[in-house]
Amino acid sequence: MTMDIEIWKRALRQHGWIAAAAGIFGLVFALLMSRKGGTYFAESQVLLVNPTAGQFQAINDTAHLSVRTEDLPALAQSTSVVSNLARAIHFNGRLSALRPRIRVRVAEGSSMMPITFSAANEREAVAGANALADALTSYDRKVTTSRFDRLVDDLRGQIRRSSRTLADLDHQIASITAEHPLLSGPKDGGAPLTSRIIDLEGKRDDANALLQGDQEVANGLAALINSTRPLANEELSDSDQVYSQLKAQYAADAAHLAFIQKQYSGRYPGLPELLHQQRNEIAQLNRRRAKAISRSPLFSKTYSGIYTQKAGADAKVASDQAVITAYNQRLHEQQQQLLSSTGESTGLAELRREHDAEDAAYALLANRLTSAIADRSEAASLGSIAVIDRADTASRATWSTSKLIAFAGFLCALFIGLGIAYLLEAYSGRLDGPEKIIKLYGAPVYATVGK
Amino acid sequence: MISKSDREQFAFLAFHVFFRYSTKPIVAVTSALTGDGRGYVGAGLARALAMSGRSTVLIEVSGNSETGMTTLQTYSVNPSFDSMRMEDRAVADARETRLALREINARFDVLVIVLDDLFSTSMNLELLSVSSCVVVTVAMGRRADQADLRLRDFLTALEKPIAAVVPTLKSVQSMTLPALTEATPLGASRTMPTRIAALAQSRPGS
Repeated sequence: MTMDIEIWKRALRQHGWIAAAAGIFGLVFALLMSRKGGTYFAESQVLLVNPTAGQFQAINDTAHLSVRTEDLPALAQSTSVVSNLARAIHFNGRLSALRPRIRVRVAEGSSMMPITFSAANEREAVAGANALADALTSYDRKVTTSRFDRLVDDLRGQIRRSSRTLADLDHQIASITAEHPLLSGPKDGGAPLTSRIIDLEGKRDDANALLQGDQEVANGLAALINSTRPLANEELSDSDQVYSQLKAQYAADAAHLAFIQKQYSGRYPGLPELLHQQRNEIAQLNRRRAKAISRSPLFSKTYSGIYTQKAGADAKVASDQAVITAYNQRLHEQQQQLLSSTGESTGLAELRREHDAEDAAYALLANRLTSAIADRSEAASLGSIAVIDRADTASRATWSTSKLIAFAGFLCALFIGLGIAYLLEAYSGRLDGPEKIIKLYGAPVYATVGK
Repeated sequence: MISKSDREQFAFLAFHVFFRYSTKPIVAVTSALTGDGRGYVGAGLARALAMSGRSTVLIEVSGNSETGMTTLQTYSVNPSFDSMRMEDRAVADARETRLALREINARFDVLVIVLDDLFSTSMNLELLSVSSCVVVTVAMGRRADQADLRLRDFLTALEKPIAAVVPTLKSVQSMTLPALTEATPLGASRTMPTRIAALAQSRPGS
């Protein structure tokens, strides 16, 4: 110990200037660095929360955290976080220059973690503190959600593949339907043509039913015409004026005869004449009636009306028959096309079945992806770090802080200089102390002379 | 002139040397390199021993490479009076050296022998072998030399304990250097008595 003190004394005597120079250098360097390191300090407050207990509930047991509390300062200095910070504040320098400006303090038993960032101006300090808190939170959530990320990525990959398969199937279906337009349809490849045929058959059946109805109407009208013939004869005879006059004459004569017969007995002399005249009138009336009804029945209003109706019904029947004929022709054509496109129809049906299956698979994957993203969001929302107080102002470094830094730098450099001086003295080959001489000769030194 | 602090240092050194070794010790003062102040230390030690009440003789060894003879210049150190130069003895071999030392040792309590450069003459080795202990002087501030290691190893091989190592500062080195490096007996006889007289003058009360 005594020897060490002697070495120290000689080191200070011989090499004290080294320690002094180192101290001055350290002082100047620390002053420069304290200036260069930023004069504004901004602080964000981060709360360590318990993800198993819900949002913003302070932790009691750090074992629940995805990142250990004592690792957070190191995490804040990690390349991942610092690079995010550099990106956020548009820092283009080396990351190692950014690290000294970051300070994260974790107190034992405290859920609060202040994050401090220093910069040359207030705006950058505030932005840096907030960006650092965000980067830490983001990293923590990244750690929390990392197990979902792979699942989400895998599902997205499967969805992309399924989407490509669907697009390919759509393309193939479009190609086939472009070549065979009659096969186009939403689902089954043969369905459009078949449905057309069925549709035509239905229409034809409708037309047949209509024809039958119209035919019955026509038949009814025909029967009505036949039954209307006597009425038409009456109308024809009634419409004849001569017949009407004869009929009126006959009625008058018949009335007169009836009166005579009522007033007189059968022996009335004029009675035979009257009876003869009546028979003549009847014969004349019948002849005139026969002549009147020998005309076309269309002169009868009733008959002509019914006849007109029957003609319309016949026209409808003919029209129905024409429609049915047209339907039959189209049905024949469609059936021929159906027979000729059986191969393409089957392929298209297969493609559409594949499309449906792929579509279902796509929907399933989409559901799974949605669930995975929701789970990840839930996990992210339950992260173990939450920013509760963002920095909005920065405090300027006080002169006392700079002085403290400078003093610390001075002390460090001074100690280093003293160490260098001690080493120079202790390991120099000069015999400039009793201890070295004792060590060299292995004998005691009782006296030093020449003082 | 020996300063007051040096006198205290020599007294302390003499105390250790005298009481640690034999009652009539033969103390050899040597150094690894020339100019390490062994003459000054030898004179100072001899004076301190004399002041403690022992009859002390200081012997300075000077070798002559031309003649091959070694001269033992002896001085009777008396702290109360000026030191007296005694007769010089020229020795040619180990036997003569031993005889001369035996004769001197019979008359004095303590012999302080200031050796010449260690390996310059074989008499140095003979004197070392008969000495009770060795005091090594080292010039403070010079670099450690291979000669230091050779001296240490040589003394270890001779089983001669180093009683003490005396670091000497530069002022003393410059003062003693001419006196001990002068190879001629005349030069030595001129300087040593002067220094011993100076030592006597510097004693307390003188």
